[in-house]
Amino acid sequence: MQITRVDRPAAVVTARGASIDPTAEAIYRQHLDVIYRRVDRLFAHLMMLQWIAAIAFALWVSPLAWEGTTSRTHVHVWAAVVLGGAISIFPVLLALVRPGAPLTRYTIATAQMLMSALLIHLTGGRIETHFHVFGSLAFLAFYRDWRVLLPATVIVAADHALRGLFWPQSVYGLLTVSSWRWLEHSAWVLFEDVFLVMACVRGTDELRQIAERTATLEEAHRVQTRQTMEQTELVARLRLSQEQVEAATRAKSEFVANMSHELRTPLNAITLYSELLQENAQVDGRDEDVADLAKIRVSSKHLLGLINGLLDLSKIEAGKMDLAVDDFDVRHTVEELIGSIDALVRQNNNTLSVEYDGVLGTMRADVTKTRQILFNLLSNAAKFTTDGSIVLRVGRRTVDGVPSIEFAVTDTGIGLTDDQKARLFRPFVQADTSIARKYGGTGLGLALVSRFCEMMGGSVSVETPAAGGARFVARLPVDVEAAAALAVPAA
Amino acid sequence: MVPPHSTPNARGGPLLWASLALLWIAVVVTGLATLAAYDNRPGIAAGAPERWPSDTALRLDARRPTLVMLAHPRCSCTEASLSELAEILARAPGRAQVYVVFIRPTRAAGIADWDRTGLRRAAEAIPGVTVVRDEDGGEAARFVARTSGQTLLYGSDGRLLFSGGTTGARGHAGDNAGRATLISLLTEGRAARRDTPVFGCSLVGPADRPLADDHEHEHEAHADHTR
Repeated sequence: MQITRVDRPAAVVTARGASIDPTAEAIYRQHLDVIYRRVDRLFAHLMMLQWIAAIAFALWVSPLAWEGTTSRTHVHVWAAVVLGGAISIFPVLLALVRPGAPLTRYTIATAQMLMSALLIHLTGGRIETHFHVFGSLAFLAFYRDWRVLLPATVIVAADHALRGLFWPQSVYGLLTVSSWRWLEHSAWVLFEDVFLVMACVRGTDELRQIAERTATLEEAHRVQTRQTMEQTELVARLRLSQEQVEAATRAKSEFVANMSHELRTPLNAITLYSELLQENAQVDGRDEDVADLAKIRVSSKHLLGLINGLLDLSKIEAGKMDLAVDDFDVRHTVEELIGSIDALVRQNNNTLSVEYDGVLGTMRADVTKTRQILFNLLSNAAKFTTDGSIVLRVGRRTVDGVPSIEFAVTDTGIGLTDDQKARLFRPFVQADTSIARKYGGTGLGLALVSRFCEMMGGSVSVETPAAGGARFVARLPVDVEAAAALAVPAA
Repeated sequence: MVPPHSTPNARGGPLLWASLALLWIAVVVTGLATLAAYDNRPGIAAGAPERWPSDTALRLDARRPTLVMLAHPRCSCTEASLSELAEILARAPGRAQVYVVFIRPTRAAGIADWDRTGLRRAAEAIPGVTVVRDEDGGEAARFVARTSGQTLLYGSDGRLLFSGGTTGARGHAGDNAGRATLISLLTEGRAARRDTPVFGCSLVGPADRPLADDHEHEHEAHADHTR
């Protein structure tokens, strides 16, 4: 598993002393900015509505001031138009031109409280209008910036303090009051402020948590994307390597196949001529020549067998080996083979017996390769068994739902270790090098068995019985073509 | 991917906007202070006679104090005065004979609905209040009243007990010294003061015949009714 190291910027420390990831901090700031801008817009609309409402209220309640029968526009109407406009237009302008800026929201907070003062004036100090102050404070908390409550609170406190100082009767109903009476009014505002500040702080804490979670998710997504890209690149490189290896293997196999073919022609000539010379030497009574020529013949046959095996293996790897499928009688084929291999079995003073499990019938497969599989297994058993017995058992079996013929060759030879079994069916590999020296061979026989079995949809396996020796089992479908047709959809 | 933290549009420097903000707040605070000064500037107080005028059409109650409020029927500020009067009478029910006198200057004599206003209906709705039309401002002249909302309280012996307004500012309802004084006089028969400022429209304008000319010399003026 590949571990991707991601370099992240160092954490930053917030004003409240908490350490926060820079990405999370950026997300947090962005969320706050969105909130500031949105609330700025809301207040801009509210300011305009308040202005219009103030004018409408003044026109409705106190449109005219009278002196006897003479009237003029009431001062409250002018106050609503001019003063209301002055209060509203500047913060609205800031909300449009500098949305999200601290100055904008502090100005809006100040303007909202000044608008409260104006509305309270216009409504003749009605107690109901004082709710505008408390409602505005709650609305200001939408910013989630508790600092905006400061100018608002200061404005309210200053308004009461100054009116108490200059016009105490208009605020407290008394002509002379304590100069600290304004604190009582301000205390109620502070009472609300406490809860609003708590709400703001909690709101920003939640925003920060959301930002941290979002940053974590984004980081995980980035890492995953990077890993996916790296894995995709790795797969592409592996595929390219595999294609290169396959191309090289095909080229090698083609080369070996060609070379083997070229070698076989002169080798056949050497074998035939050595046999011919050996017969002539026997006729002429030249015994010394007979022995030498026999060695040449044996060596050339061995070399021919090696080259044939190499040629077959190369053809398989190059994808040029085809099956010649035909119907043939299993028992008849086995008996034919036994007849030709009998001499080889008896070389090491072994005995060969054949057992048939029930009626075998016919197979539809490549008879040459089937014969080659059997020959290689039996010759392998004969090679590694001395003064022992070899048993070939043939029977019908069903392997994974496929009717098959099982060829089991059991010998009493030297046997195999687990490590040797693991490497046994690889080409050019024998159980170990000491065996090669002692018993000879090319290491191609069992590799070809394995390849031929695979080509016909079968398999080969080996086991070591407790009594010693080895047991090779080759299983081939009764009908190779039908088995191949069944195997395709599953693939 | 998180875009970089967006900054507010920088149209003009922060210093410029901060300066404009300070200028703005100065302008607005000045405006509000001017408005507050206007709302808290009392009208001309009455030079009310110390004794119940003998020529008034109103009847002095011999068993309890008599309260007279002189009002302009179209003055929006007087609505607060009437609501304060209602509050006073609710706190001291039946303690006084109450008249609300709505002036109708000579120039308005031809206007049928001059004093048929919401203000008059509001006064009529207050229990224990007798609403009187003051043709040509005769009663206002007799009581030497100049400002709508002027309230006078005379004892059963005809002696002036109180002269002033019932609101703390122009059209401003709520606790105020006039209300407190009147309630004290009606319920306890005594009070710390006997006058308060009056807030309201002028009962007569420059185009109307002056009220006090004919009567000012007939009565002893109460000199110190204003602050």
